[in-house]
Amino acid sequence: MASAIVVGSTTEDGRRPVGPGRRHSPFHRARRRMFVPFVYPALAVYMLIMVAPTLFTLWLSLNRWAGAGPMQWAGLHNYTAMFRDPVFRTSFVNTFWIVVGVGAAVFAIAFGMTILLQDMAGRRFARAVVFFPSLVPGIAISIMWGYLFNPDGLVNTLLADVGVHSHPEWLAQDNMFKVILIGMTWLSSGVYTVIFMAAVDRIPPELYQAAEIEGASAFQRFRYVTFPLMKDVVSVCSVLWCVGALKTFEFLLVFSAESGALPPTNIWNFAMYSYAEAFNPDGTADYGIAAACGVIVLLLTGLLMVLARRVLRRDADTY
Amino acid sequence: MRRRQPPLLAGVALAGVALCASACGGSSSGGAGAAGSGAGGDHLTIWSQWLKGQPGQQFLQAAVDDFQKQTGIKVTVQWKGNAVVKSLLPALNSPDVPTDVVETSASQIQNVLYPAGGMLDLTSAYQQQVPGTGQTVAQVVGPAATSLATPTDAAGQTTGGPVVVPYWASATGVVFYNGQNFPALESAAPKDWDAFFSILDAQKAKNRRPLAQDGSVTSYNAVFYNDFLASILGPDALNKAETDKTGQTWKQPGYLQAAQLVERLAKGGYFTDGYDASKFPAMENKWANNDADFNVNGSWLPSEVGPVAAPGFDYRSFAFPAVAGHSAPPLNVTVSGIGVLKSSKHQAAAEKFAAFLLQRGYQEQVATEMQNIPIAKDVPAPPAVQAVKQAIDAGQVNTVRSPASLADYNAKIYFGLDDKLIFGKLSAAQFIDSMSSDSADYWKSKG
Repeated sequence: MASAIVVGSTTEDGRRPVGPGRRHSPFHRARRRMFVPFVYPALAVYMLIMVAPTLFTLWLSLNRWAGAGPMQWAGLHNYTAMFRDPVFRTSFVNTFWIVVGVGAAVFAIAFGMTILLQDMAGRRFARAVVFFPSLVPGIAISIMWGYLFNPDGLVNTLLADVGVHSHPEWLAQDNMFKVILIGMTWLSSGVYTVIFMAAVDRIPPELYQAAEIEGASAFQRFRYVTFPLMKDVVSVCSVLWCVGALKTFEFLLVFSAESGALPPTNIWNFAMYSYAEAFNPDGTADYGIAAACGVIVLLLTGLLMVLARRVLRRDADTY
Repeated sequence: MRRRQPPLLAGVALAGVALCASACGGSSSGGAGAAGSGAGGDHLTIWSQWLKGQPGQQFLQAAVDDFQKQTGIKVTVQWKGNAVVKSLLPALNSPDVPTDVVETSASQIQNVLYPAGGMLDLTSAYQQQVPGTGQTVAQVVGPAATSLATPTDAAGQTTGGPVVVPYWASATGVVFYNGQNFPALESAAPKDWDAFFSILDAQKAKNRRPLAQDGSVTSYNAVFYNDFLASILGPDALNKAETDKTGQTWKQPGYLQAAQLVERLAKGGYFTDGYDASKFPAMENKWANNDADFNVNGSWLPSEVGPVAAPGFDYRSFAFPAVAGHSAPPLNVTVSGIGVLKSSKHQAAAEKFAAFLLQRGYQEQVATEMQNIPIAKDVPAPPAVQAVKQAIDAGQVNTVRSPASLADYNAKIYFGLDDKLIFGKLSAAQFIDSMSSDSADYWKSKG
């Protein structure tokens, strides 16, 4: 079946290779000259709103600062204090669960839904339905979940109606993080299902016809046709997921914290740790540690992106 | 066609840069300094903790309108809500701070804005006369509230002069009940926890879980241990144990006794079902519908549950009782009011406005319109919290405060273990052991 796929090599940015002769043509020289004035404005904006704040964050992480007034040089103290802090370690584990645990669940569900919905009648409608949770703001959903899972909430009432009286205490501190993970999985699965289905839509139907003639099951069609031809999309999605998941914040805060307060530390992730250091409602802001945590997130994001791209690296298949 | 695209893109890019440049370096005409500079007279800018439509906003707007009419000073108020301090902090780095006055709780001002060097010492403002009272600001506010309006150092001791002129107060550790169900309590509140346990046990005997507790609010949970401990060992006992870098203070007598009282409540079936697995305000709403008998909460509770409460609910309260054989814990009070920015060019007008709010008429409106506790002595509070007001007027106020530097400790160590204690996941002895060892580890991690 794989032989039916025409695989061709392209450059990394998807363009065809250009010969040395073409590079030096007057047209290309003129084009290169124009490159500079076109790129510089964008580069300047990028430097101003992305690179400069990043460098400032790095500088901040080496100081103690209450958010205004003078800074005090702290060297690497913010980092050492943070690494010794058990709550930072809890935040690390929770961040890992969100990025890897929820990520695995989201991608598994999205793949499963892609297989199930591929040949289903009314797939456009189904796609709209699975996408729906993504349209509702996460903050609204997290507030709603709080009410659904209250002891007298809808979930327990429905369970009682069907005769289930022994159920977990959904919002107990020991269970809250699990409920959050489930909520995030539910929120995100639809988006990735829709992206994966869009990727599947561009696969020529004759490949599936050939697979069918050869007696491939639904899973085999996914394994040998669908997945290889959507691998580039999966790679991009995995990067997008890692970046988004590392920054998960509002769902945790709204679901688990009361107005103006911090949530219990057993559900903190890196973003919450950083927020708590900068905006502890009862204390003086410590932007130094918050920035140090931000630097760690930046490094982790870079690392995860490289890893995700490496694991899924392959020349793009074309057809 | 493709050749036409680059100029278009370049135009868009340049327009973007121009837009950003104009946005980033835009005029600061909204700033406090600029606002008053060209108008000829004073122009006061206030950033307030209230949002439009809230009773506090309506009260303050009416007072501002009167102030403008009577003094000719123009006032612009921006209703920022709870995030007022968070919004203001970054602006302190600007040479043109966008407000003269911040109107919020003293603790927020002291913990966040004062350490950043942004607040004016208001000692001189406290010497002003309050119009129509024959008293100075210091006399109207009183020594206890003045202390609460003054910043503290790392040891929790007041330092410098007050940075807030408060006009209202709130208190936590207040026991609320429905006066219709317990009419006798209004004249004879339980004198200690033994007496209160008797009342709770009588309710338990009627198959009720008498105490409503929103366990999802860690600070509400901590009120029990805080106040038991303050009653047994005094209001500074918690600070002493928390700042002991060896953690050994937790092992001293009294700390365990306070934990045992919380354990008794947790394991004795006193708290409403679901208190440890629900989302605020589920449990206080249950109480407001008579599904529980008592709720230890803050003086704001009646206005908070008012819209969902059972018809005719008669809000009554008494202060957190003493542990038998000890004094009652002093009330934990937070004061809120006017702070003036050091950078303000209209400090005299700002101080005048602060004194203006302390006139008796406005203080009465704090009770009648805002449904809160007026700061001025002898001005009555709403009936639901009048008992609290009397305790404040009598000076039974906890002036020992947790230093801002302990906020991180509380968030990472104390609140978490206290939650486990009140949810019955830790015994009193385990709580003390954990507090002791985790405190030592925490301070070690801080180096």
